[in-house]
Amino acid sequence: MTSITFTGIRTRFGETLANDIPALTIPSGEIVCFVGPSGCGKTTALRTIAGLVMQDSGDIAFGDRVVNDVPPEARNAAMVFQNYALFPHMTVAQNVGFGLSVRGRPAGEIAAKVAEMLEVVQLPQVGERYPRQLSGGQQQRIAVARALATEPDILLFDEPLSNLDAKLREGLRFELRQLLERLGVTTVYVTHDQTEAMVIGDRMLVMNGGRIVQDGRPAEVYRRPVNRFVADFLGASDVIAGTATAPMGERQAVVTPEGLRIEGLGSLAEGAPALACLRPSGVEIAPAGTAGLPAVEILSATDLGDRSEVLLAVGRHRIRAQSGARAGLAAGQQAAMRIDPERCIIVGDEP
Amino acid sequence: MRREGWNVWAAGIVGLAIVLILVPLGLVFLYAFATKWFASSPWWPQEMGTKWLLSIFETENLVNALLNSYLLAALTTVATLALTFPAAYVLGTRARQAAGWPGRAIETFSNLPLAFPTITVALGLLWLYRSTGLTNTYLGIVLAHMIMAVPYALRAMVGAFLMVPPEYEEAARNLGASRLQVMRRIYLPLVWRGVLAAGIFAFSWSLNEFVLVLMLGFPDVETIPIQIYQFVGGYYLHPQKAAVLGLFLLIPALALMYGVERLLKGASVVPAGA
Repeated sequence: MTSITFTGIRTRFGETLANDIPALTIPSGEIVCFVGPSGCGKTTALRTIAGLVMQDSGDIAFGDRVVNDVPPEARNAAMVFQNYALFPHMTVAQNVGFGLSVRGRPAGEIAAKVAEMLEVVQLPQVGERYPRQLSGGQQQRIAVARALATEPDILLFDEPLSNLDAKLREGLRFELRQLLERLGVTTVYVTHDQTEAMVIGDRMLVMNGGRIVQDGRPAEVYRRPVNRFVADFLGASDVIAGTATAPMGERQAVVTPEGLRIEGLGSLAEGAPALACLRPSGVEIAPAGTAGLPAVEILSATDLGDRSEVLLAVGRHRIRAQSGARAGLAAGQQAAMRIDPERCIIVGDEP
Repeated sequence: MRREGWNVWAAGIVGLAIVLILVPLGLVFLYAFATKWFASSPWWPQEMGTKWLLSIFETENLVNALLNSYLLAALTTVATLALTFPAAYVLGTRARQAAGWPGRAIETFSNLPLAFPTITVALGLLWLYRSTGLTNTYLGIVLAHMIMAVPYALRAMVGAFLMVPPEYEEAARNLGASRLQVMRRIYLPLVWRGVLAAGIFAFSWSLNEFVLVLMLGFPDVETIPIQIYQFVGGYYLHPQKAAVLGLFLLIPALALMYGVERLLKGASVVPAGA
């Protein structure tokens, strides 16, 4: 177990800035998720920790030890790859035991550790099989077992669940979280799925263009994205531009040129160009003519079983909303909308 | 009806191909073992035996030709693999990130010599060898054979290395394996079929090669094809001995082909994640 420190890390791939991380410390035992769209530099950051990518400048340190010149095989930072990278010519047991075997450990010790690890991932019977004989979910567990078998100081995950179907992914997410909590090893987990990051991580780092744009506890990042990019990434569906009103405590409002006023969480200076970021779950439908609520027209209503997805028109804006199932809404109806200020985020309108 | 019609055609074509291949080879066998074969009964020899086979071992220059052929083939194989294995490793694994022109260059380069007329290459080498003293030497012949063997071997082996997803090496390094351990425990088990195919090609190509040896090695370096040529086109005609020598080329070639077929049947490079 060790902490990880990035100091002035910059990495370029040709013209592209892959990573620019001036300072980042991941304390010992923390589970950190790097999230962001593809190409945001999250995987590069992970591979830099593993030593599979060499930064152009800056230092990576494990604890107090700068590891820039330490080759990947000596970093003891085991990685679970997106495609698992199980060795096809070795049995599951040989795969799991590989790390100990190359360290020259005695066969008996390796066998015992392999059995223990297969027990941990709940696949004690598959040791003699080959990876291709396992399902995707089983291969994923074996990849985790192989990484754990070396008793690494740091665990690295590169989108480990992205090749699995949605249902399996949801189950494994919680399982993985429990396992990581039990182990207490410093963990860096890369994903483009914000829900996965919220389940797995103690801390969430949102990346864009090679830089960390927000760093915080997952719930906090979700509730208070710092800019439009993060809000978008974390599920804001509609963004309405206007001017900020004077902040009152945590809240303020955005007023559009047409006079539509939307209240939300924000702390911009009065008069600043602002964006109100809405999530469908924060927009409700009220009966037409409700006092104090803007009038809307329903453009479409789709029954999804447990809820309805509704598209509203407010002047020239289109806003997505949610309502209960069988709310009896139909296209063309007039209604009003109520925006929950706790679920509307107001961020500066930066270019 | 239509299907049956096609089956007849297919059987006819396959049969013709088999006849075209097997008849000449069968004749070589018959010639090699026929000790009495009168013109009055042209279909089958009257007496068969191992006389001609054994006679080969009584003639010193024929034994030398046999040894020369196999030795040159072995040297060509070893030298080709020694040169191309590291190159294929670099091109198939290291240079893959910078894929693009190196890959295309190899592709082009490896195809070209296979299209060269051997005799033209031999002509060029003849002048080159005369000025460097490589004519009539083993080294000269091995180098000449490598001109053809290296591109093919490189092609086969780069292909084998390219089939190994880069994540395997990364995962192995990540789990604590040194570069040498990665080579021994990840790459070798996954590319050895390609290496073997390359080696077999180099060996059989060198064994069968005639023009380069004739122009660059003869008369000091004599091989089986050269002796066969002399027995059928030289001053001392002896088709039976030529046929026996032919068997010394044919049998290893058939054995190697069989080996390759069996290997490739078992070949399966499993992609990452599969």
